[in-house]
Amino acid sequence: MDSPPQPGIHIRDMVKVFTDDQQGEVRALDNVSLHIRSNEFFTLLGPSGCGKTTLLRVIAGFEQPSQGRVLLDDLDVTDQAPYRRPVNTVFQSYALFPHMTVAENVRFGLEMQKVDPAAAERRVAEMLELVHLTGMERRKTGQLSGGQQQRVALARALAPAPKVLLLDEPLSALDFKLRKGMQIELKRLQQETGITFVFVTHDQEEALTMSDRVAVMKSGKVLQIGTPEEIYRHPVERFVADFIGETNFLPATLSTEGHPAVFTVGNAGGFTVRAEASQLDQRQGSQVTLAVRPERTFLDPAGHGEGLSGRVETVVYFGTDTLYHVRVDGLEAPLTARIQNRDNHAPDIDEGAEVRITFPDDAVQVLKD
Amino acid sequence: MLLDLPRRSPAVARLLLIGPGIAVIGLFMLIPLGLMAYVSFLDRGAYGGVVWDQHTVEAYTSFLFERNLDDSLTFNTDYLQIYLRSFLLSLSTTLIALLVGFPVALYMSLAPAKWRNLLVFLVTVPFWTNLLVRNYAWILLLRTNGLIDQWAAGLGLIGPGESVSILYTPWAITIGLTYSFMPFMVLPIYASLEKLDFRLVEAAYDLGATRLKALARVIVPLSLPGIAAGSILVFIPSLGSYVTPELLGGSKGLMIGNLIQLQFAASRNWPFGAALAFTLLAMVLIAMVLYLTRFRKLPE
Repeated sequence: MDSPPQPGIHIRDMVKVFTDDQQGEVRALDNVSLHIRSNEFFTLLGPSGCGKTTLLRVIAGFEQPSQGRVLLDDLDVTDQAPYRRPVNTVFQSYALFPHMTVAENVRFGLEMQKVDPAAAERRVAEMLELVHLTGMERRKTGQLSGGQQQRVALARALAPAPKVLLLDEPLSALDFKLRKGMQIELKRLQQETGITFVFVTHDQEEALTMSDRVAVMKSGKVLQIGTPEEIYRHPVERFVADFIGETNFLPATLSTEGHPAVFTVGNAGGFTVRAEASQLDQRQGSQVTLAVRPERTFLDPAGHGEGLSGRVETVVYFGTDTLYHVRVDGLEAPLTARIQNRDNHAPDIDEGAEVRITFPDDAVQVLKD
Repeated sequence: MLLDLPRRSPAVARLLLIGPGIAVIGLFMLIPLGLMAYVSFLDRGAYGGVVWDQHTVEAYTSFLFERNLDDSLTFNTDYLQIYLRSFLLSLSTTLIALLVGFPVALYMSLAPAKWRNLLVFLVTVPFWTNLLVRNYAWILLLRTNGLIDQWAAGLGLIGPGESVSILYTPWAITIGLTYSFMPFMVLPIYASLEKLDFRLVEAAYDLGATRLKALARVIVPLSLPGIAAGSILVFIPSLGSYVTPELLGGSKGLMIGNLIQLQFAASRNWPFGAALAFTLLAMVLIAMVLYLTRFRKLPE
């Protein structure tokens, strides 16, 4: 409320309700509040239908929120028409104007701002150079490949020098290799232009590799906001842990309260880990779920020492790593361990081998389910 | 087997498919048209009809020239003026239909999908009534002391007993033609607007275009094929219209259609009537060619 003015985008108590003929009322956004800082690469990540695109469209001005405000550098733009906002969008379908050339598309926003023609011409050239499309000025957009159309869409949205660039799953139509290239390209563009990027995707890898910060969304709510590392290493909810990367989930019982608390893993007694669980209402004997990443799950081929005992079900060779799926008594799903191959050799564990599974204390994340 | 032939030979199958259409066009259009073309080069009969073995270009000559008693020709603009008036009336009809019809088509294409078919259906409703009846309805509306006069008097726009005097003016013809051919404008524009990706309009807004700019720079250019088709479909029937100028235009409102009808009926000058019709056809063809070469380059 009385917080000092901070530049960037503030979303305050945002609610968006759609009325649907079949489903009745759908809350696409359910009380979302977040702050996107100036000049950061911010990603809205979530499965389809989580509200991420709706939030983007509210920021762009295409949707009016049912409740809540949008502030842009502390100016309330909630009721501003899209054409008044210093915000430009790269659409999922690109939405290039088919009756205009590449240069005309890029110049469109500048003409709308009544930029002097000579300056606009220079700006168009500069933008096309930025996205490596110099020489394509007079092509019609229909003659371009998907990747080139993507670049035109970027150049067009960047040309009017917006404060914020919104990107609605812009890479989803590209093939794998192009997508990888564009991820690096987008990050470079964001750093070179210093414009705030708000990027929408359902691809967790995309989110992790490009973003300064990520907001994970589900059913119209923001579950967690943090740097890619925070989100990956310390997911607060099972959904986040599951959605981002692979995760082993283990039931555990809190055996000793404290900081860190001690948890007993699985039914087979004896194996305990210590983990911080300050976000939980701690009570001895309460059931929790522990999340452990496969690369921090260790296998011990010999049966000695503490750990969960299990049997290797499948071994999948991945080049750099090998994946082991281990069946543990009392657990529904097999656990996965990802072990790096040293000297190009997979560790010497075969299918059917009896192993002990352990993980270091700092690999464990306690989830509030 | 003979019946297998279409299956084995695509050429035969194609011929069988388009054959009936070609036959109908040939029998009922090309042959009468050819006959009329022939008639236009014949001498008129004394009591109507033509003299079949007297070939002459007199009919075409008399379109532009008046033959004096001493057989010399004087340039005569009477008929050209009627053609010019017809072109101007058809042009204004087309423009008004476009100005009124485009927003209607835009509204229809923006309506929820479930309503659109109903709206298309409603646009065609005027076709259910006979053209003649609809034109008589306009007489009732436009005539002195008609409904429009009564409303205008009621609103105090004109004094009691005065008239806005629209009936039997070119305005009345334009109103009647616009009304009659409006669906031909609305439907093609609607067809191209319905295909338009409205995300492009969002993109225009996003880049700072106001509603008017988005309309001018994105919506209108992308619906140009529909606008072109609608304009042709309104302009050409307007040019040849007969009933509307006959009923609403009065004695001074002669259009090409009425002029041609006069030649075949009252004046009993079939060759001249035919020549007038072919002059019109030539003008329309030239206009069409110009139009198509202009619009063919547009994106689909």
